[in-house]
Amino acid sequence: MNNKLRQKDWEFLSAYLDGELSDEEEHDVRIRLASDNAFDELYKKIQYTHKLLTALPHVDPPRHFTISREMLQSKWSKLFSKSLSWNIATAVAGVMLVVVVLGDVLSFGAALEQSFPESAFVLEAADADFAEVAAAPEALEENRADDGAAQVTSEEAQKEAELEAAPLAIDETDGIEIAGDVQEIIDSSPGNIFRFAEAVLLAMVIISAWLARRKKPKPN
Amino acid sequence: MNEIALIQSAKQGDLKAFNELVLAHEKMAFNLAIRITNDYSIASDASQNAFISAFKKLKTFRGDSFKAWLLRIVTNACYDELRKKKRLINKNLDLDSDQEDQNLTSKWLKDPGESPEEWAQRKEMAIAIQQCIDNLEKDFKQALILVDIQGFDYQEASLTMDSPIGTLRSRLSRARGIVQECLQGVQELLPSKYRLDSETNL
Repeated sequence: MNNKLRQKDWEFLSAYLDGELSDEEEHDVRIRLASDNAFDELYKKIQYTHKLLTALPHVDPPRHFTISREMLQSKWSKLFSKSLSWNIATAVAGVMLVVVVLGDVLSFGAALEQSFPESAFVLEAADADFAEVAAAPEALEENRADDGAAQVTSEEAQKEAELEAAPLAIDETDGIEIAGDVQEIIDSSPGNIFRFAEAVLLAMVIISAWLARRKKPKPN
Repeated sequence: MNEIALIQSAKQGDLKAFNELVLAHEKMAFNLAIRITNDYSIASDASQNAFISAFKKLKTFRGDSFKAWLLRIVTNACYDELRKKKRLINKNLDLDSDQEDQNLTSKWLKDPGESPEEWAQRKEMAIAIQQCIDNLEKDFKQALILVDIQGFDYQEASLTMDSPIGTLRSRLSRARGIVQECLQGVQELLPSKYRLDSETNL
């Protein structure tokens, strides 16, 4: 194969071996094989190589290569396969959980004030009620002094009784109302909301992580 | 159902019909893949990818020769897979490698009818030949595999390679020349039965 003539000889002999020459070319090769020892030697080498190659056995495939619809999915649809979707869901729920926990720890007070501004009104109202109650005995004394002669009319006696009973009434009515409002605030405080959200997100993380870890069946 | 009918059905999206074509051609496809890659795993992946690709591209098949068209896809899939896994074919020829069982030569030669000595000899020979095939350039290798190992005639092989018959003839003769020289270089490694000076034994 080092010179052009030899390469051409190889080509002819190779095609002759495979029966791929025209009748005329085949005839020429036969004549040369009979008269040229080197040419004949070369032919034997080609024959030998060909026999070695054809002696190699064929191998059975390790499995069938039939295809399923799932295998035909595009890369993008595979990217968003079930398993990956659950992995993403786990990651998102995890991030949300971290955010909620941080929010719970760091900004409970601020969240309380921003979320429940009405609590300030309730407390102000409670302060006003208590101020009125505290001022009641003084108003009674003032009233008695104005009348001077310690004559207490039935109307005055009634008013006096009302004023004396005022603190108790406030305690029994407004006090209960205030206590109820505060309890409501406590019951629905952002702290509880945070904790509820934390529990939900934690459950989401666990469930989605479990679903993501489930093995997909292998095709074939 | 004949091949043409199966192809027509598969073109309409009939996966069952296409899978019948797969079953009919998978052995040939896998043998081509394993000769090109010399690796069971890569050949298997390449064959599978080739069939998937063939189904997707089936509408582009114009009806010359399904076998040639399919093997062209298999060949491309093999080189894609080799590139993807960045593996050199020669690596698998190390007999001392732990992956020897993955090497095709240790699997394809098993013949229940032969003695252990005969099997060992055939194994040695196959390893030597495969090593010589692996050293060929891509086009020479493909020509040699298609004609000498797969038994294609020049017409089918040239269709598969998408090249003229004259080009194929030239490539094939050069490939045979290179392999012959390579085998001469490892004559002493070949079992005596398979040496050139005792070719009548073949």
